[in-house]
Amino acid sequence: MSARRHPRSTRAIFAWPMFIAVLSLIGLVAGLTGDGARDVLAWLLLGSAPVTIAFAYWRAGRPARPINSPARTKAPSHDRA
Amino acid sequence: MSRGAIRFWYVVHKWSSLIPTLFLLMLCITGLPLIFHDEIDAALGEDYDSTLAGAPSAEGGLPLDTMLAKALAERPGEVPLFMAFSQDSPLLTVTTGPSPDAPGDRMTLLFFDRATGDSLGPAPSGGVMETILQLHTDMLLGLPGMLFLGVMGISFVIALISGTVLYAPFMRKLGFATLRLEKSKRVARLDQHNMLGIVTLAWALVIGLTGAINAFADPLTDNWRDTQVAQMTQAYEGAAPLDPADYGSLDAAMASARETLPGRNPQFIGFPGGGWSSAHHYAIFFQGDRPLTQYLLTPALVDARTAAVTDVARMPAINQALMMSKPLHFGDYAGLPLKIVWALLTLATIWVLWTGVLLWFRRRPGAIDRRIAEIRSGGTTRAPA
Repeated sequence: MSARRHPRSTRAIFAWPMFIAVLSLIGLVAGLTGDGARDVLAWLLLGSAPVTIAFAYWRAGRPARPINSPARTKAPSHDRA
Repeated sequence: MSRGAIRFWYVVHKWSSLIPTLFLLMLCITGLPLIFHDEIDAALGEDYDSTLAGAPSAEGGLPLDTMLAKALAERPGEVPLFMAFSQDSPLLTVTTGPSPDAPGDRMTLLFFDRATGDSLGPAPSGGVMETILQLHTDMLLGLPGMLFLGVMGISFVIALISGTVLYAPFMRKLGFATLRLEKSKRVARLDQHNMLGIVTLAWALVIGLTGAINAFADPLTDNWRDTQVAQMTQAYEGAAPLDPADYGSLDAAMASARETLPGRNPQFIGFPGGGWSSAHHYAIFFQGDRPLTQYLLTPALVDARTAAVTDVARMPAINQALMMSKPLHFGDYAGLPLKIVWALLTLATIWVLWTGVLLWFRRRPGAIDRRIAEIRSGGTTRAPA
């Protein structure tokens, strides 16, 4: 899921972020308005953000990306900031 | 998005985040232990709420008059100033002083167990968590520090909004949550900054907004309380202050206040003559019974001699909304798992702030045009930024 040929629409760019934002907000309010089941709902919904982060790092560190695998160890020096 | 628009939002993002960065890092770092303050207090043995067994002191236990007599016996010659209740344990605190209008440094705070009537001695002073909380609230600078941090919170919200605007052009050609960690360090930082920032966006907006609201709401609430109590007690204005010897039964006062406000628990009582009451009333401050309403204080003024309720004040809607947003800032309202999520999101925010500083710092002069090119291309331009 790295560089793409065709530019994405703004709606597509914000689809996932909006989804996570809505889950987070529902989770925040659920925990506030009740106990028990609503607390569990709060953990799960707000937990979607750290889970997404963990998934993104796991996917980035996964060795199964043939295009990148030869140059995995170090970036070429001219590419450095 | 045009180059001009990107340039505008880039400049807004840069300054709205650079200026508060140091303070935001301080807030994140002090905020981390505060999330777990219940657990830390319990581990340090400073948390009576978790060690005392019995009904919450806000709901029942020994008569209040008995508890007050015990407190005054420990401080002969002094008068009661405040009595505060716990919603979780039999812990009951009584504040005494040499006179009804004694200043804070002459007050003594005593701890009691309302279930057994045992004295727990003077309150443990301060403690490290108290200092961390003060740093987090006002950097130990009082109201100016609090308002300053409120402004930093607003700046943080502006940084989040401008960052989200810049996210769109940057991500045109990239899939969601792309992390190119093996490219240059700069691209790796950009991707992490963007991914962590956008994923934590909703939570960070809520924390930033409620943090700023807290900073500005407390002074508003103090102001409301002062004017409200003065209005409610106008009828007593000319009367001489009530002598502490003539104070009537606290239990009778509490009973008539509870009759007026059923289904609520008291948070504390302000005694006559202090800053939280009139010269003739017990001011009993009730709170709501759910996390959502626990910060909604409803004071009932009860004539200290006759135990008749003089008046009940309800918070104006604006203060209610401000106070209801408070728990959203703390993340301690739905058990330990939510606190852990809160801490993880705080760590992610620290990393967003840090990568943001590095992205700004590791640059060469005249870089703004390259920055704009970088945002437009999703970080794929070859020019060293």
